[in-house]
Amino acid sequence: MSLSGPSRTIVVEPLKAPVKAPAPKTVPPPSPVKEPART
Amino acid sequence: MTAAVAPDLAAPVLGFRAWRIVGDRLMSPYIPCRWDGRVLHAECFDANRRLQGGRGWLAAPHASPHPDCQCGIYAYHRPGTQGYYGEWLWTEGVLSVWGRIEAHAQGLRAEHGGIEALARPPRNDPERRRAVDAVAERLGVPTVARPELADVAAALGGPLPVALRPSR
Repeated sequence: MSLSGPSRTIVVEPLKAPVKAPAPKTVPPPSPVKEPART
Repeated sequence: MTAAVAPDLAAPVLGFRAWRIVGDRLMSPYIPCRWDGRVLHAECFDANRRLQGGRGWLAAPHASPHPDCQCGIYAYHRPGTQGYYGEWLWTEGVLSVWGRIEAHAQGLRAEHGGIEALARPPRNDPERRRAVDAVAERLGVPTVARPELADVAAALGGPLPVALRPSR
């Protein structure tokens, strides 16, 4: 295996793995509504 | 070091190459370089520099690939450039390359290479087929029919664009 002739230097980014969709954020359940204290 | 260098090409580059098979390991066909994993990082070994009486190889240590040396991880822009390696078991495959690349008219020499697929030998070559299957399983890469290598490379991004290759 040989490569003859002039070469050209370039910089190449790596092959990236398929990007996964971000997981949906967990929304905390609403806090229970407290009834106002009766006086 | 390429981490701080802006890439000339922010897209995958794929190439084609062959390996000898020794046991369940891939070897570079012409130099004593064993591919223990799916990814290889280029080094210019002292043993390389003794090849061909040292002609074409830089004597001083250097980062690989170097424009004035023959080192680097080789791949061709088209499949099937060479398909026979004497009595050795061998296979072809698709390689993704990145980092610094020395691009030639017919192929390239890369700083980093990762095997993406290996060619499945025909049924009438069972010994080579078993050997390739074992290597592919160990490396965790798919095997595909040889005529499909170009399709695999195209699906992953394709070969180095012609505009970035030097003319002959």
